[in-house]
Amino acid sequence: MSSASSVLRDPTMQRQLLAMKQQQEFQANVAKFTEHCWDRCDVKATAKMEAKTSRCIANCVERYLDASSRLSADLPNLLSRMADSRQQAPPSSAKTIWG
Amino acid sequence: SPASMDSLSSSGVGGGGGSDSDKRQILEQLQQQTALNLIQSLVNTSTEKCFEKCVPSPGGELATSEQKCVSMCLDRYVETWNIVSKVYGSRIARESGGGGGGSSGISFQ
Repeated sequence: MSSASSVLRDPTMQRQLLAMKQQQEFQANVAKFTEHCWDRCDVKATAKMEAKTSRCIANCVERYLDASSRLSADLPNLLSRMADSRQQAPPSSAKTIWG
Repeated sequence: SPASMDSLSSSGVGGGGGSDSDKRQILEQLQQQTALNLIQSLVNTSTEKCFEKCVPSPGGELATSEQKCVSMCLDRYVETWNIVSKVYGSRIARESGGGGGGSSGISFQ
């Protein structure tokens, strides 16, 4: 059998495609953080970057990832609270769920 | 041979159809396309940011000072990208048990 689908079934091919996908995700995140931290740290269009600015950028990335981990860790709890509220009368305000 | 889907009908080794060189070509093309998309994204975003920063009141033409600003701005944007790439890559390596090799990032010189 020879077709495009059989090429994709090749395990080596799959491994390499997965690696490429992961690299793509990495780059997409770098692009996102760069844009976000550029604004957050108010990077200036100067000949040389100030030390405090490069520190800010590094902190910006680390803190974003911390916040993201924090959120992921809290997610199961949050989801279970959403399930609980479904068994009661619908809440009159969002405050009931997000407390 | 051209890397079209037709040429994949040649018998191949290593499981599945298609020759190894065809598979390599596909991967290379995918890699190239990904790199191009990345550059595109970088250019689009940095153009927007640097226009905002350097040309607050667009006039009849781009002043010399504005051109210089845009040039420096692009350098700083790429520098920001490199810092982000390094920090993010290190963080991932740290969190996957410290060993995992360098980041899979692209750095712009």
